[in-house]
Amino acid sequence: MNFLSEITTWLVVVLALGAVAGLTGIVTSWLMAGTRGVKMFAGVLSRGIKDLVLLSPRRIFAITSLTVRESVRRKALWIGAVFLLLFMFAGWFIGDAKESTPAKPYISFVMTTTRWMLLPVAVLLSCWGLPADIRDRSLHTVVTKPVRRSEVVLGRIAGYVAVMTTLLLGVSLVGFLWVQRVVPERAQRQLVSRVPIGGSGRTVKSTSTEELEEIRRNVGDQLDIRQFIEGATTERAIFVFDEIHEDLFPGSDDIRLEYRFEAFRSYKGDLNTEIEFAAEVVNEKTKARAAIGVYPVNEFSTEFAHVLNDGKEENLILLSRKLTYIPDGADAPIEADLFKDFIVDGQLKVEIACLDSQQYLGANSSDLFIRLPDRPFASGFWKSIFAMWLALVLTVTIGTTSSCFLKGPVSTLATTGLLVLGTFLKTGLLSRLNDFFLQGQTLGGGPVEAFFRTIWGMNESSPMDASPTTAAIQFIDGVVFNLLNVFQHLIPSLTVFDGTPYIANGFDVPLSTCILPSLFITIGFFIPCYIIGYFALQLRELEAK
Amino acid sequence: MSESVIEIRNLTKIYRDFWGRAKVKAVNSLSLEVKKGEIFGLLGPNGSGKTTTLKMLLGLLFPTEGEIKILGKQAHDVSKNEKIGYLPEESYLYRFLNADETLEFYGRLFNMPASLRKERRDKLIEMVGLQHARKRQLKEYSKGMTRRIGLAQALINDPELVILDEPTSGMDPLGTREVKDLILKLRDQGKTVVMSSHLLADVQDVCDRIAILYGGELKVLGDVKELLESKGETQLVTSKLDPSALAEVEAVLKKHGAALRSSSSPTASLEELFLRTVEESKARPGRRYAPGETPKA
Ligand SMILES: Nc1ncnc2c1ncn2[C@@H]1O[C@H](COP(=O)(O)OP(=O)(O)OP(=O)(O)O)[C@@H](O)[C@H]1O
Ligand SMILES: [Mg+2]
Repeated sequence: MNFLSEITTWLVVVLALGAVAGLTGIVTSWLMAGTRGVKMFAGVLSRGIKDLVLLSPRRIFAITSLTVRESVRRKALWIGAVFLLLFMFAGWFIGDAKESTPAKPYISFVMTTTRWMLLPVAVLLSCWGLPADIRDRSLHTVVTKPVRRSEVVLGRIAGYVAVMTTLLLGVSLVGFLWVQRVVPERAQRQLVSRVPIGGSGRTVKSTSTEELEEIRRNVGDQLDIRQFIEGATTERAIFVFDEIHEDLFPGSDDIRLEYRFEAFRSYKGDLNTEIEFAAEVVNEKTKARAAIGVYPVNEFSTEFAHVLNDGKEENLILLSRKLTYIPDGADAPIEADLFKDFIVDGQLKVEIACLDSQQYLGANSSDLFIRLPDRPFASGFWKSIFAMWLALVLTVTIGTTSSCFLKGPVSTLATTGLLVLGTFLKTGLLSRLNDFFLQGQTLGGGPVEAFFRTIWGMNESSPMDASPTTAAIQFIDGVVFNLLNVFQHLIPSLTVFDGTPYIANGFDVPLSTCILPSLFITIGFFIPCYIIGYFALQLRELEAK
Repeated sequence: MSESVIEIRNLTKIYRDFWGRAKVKAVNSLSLEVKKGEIFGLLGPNGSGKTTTLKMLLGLLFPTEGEIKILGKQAHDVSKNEKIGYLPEESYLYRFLNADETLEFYGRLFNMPASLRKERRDKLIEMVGLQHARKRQLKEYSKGMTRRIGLAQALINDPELVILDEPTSGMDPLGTREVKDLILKLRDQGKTVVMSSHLLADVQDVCDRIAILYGGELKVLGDVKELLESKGETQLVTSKLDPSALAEVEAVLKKHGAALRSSSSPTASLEELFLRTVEESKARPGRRYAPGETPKA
């Protein structure tokens, strides 16, 4: 993820929104009251800037603690008790854990229930608080004190965040202990946070030619994401890892690589011996290559099993720092150091060859990764709880902002709708947008084209005939796509905030693809939401209408 | 009297519905001024625009037209609130707080240090007579008790200008008396009080000047004493006269060309003025009276 370009996009979107809002404000105030109106608008704006910046922590804190009290008296914390009940009886329902990964369903259960029970609480609390405050006019008494309405917005958000934090901490602590208790003894070692360094992989006909020829071979399974190399040929799977340095592996002699290749047998063979592969490290510059070893493909389980049930570590390739290899032309092996002699500019290259004739080995980029020293389960768990906390902060922010100008029920619907749209539908939208902007077209065209295809009875893929009508349709679709492209930035997706896929599979939660993006998205929405919330409160009469 | 604390010019408020159509003209081109150190009463029948006017002063509602200067500032300026205390028409407080917590909360909103908050809190709770109930949540309070804590809340910052919307509504006679004494005490401390009320006796007792609104328009404005002084009459109050003495007095009056119109005790004459104004306004809509002038009976 390129943060600089993301931040630039954010700035562009926020400034564009600001400009649209500003222009609308100027035009309407001018239409309504002429130059006096424009002056008033300028006044509102300059006061707004002051209000947004000159804040009093004590006043904000007063509103925060009021909000907390209100939520407590509304019995919001009782939701914690519901969790306790769930955890007590959950064991009955999570019986059929897959043999190879017994810990996974328990971890998923804790994360999923926590998420889907706390998010609605956050939505309800934040969407109903301010409207009730306005309806009961208790806000009248507050804003006739020297309180800036920006402080009301911030205090409210902070209050709900405090409540949600308490709930989340309580629930996740119980969940954390519960997982450790209920995961069967034999699978306790799956409660770990593995730290992978991924590389890029490709499958080639041969590594000796100048120009590498890619293999695209599927073994008939449409859904399979792997490419297959044939055994006992020159075909290889090549993996390249970048930015590999000694200090990543302090005090350990071996570098651990973990794999999850897939085997495909073109004939049955001996089912008691697994198909094997050989691994080599290669120096890209000197072409020196050293054998690492021969390993069995874990054929009979595509489910990822990094720790076998009997406790034996599986699927690991130990790459020793001290290697021996036979240089070109020499006939005796010499000693070498992995970091000095094989890693060029931080790049480690590993080649995989399938050893069994007429059998196939399937691989893709994520099938081989460097496994740094493991961290305790707590590391991944609490990181994903932090990401969930950010999701709650985002939800509370959006809820509170919408409740500044909408009534409770409407605000609830709006917030829920936005989150659901972002989390469940945004991926589809994004892939369409990608098709359009990167390939210049999408299957079946944009909305207008799709509409005409439907009424003209055309299928998705037959081309439209070149005519002015088609040109017009495609022009309108182009505009729609560009608008959608701006629009998609306004809907947050909670998918990024989910650390469950990592920790349920025994991985640590990565900073770069989970924590940091979540943090940036939260801040990115918080700032405009705060501004919108303030102006919405400031510019409305606080009468219940 | 010196500088003015509130200046309202041509203030108009039209309530609109969702579509922006005018629904009610609640205040119609109202102009008035409140001087420092006086007790100003806003009178009028239900729905005459008293609360609307006060809310506009506080920046809760935005005027459709007209200008407001309050403590030398614009109505939408939050910093003016530092020196204002406001008791809303109904005490709009947080029902889940108790009296102590309520005052603590509003004290914090004034950025007051903890020691000062505690001092004020204790003083005000005692003043409004809620010592026995300070730990009870407001939702358990009776109407009068809620009024009392509302009043305490309005005074938490020792304001220069106190705006009270029907301060005595819901209070028992003793409470009413206490509130009136309190208002007078506030004036003695040099503070300015603006209050709206229906309870004419209260207004007559405490207000220096009053304005009577009808249908959002200012009908009568002036000094309470002057307004109530019936120009063509002199009122004598004596100790009890027996019938013969009364006859003699009558004879003396006749000699001077005057007649004894009544010999009862003085009436609550503000009530009379108020009713007269309302009747007149109904009969002759649009008529206004010059400052100090009153509708004739
Ligand atoms: N939020 C509102 N929306 C629409 N109309 C309103 C609103 N508030 C008040 N009004 C109308 O404005 C007019 C003035 O109301 P206001 O509350 O100012 O009267 P008031 O003098 O305070 O009356 P009362 O003595 O009953 O308190 C009334 O006709 C009322 O119906
Ligand atoms: Mg009123």
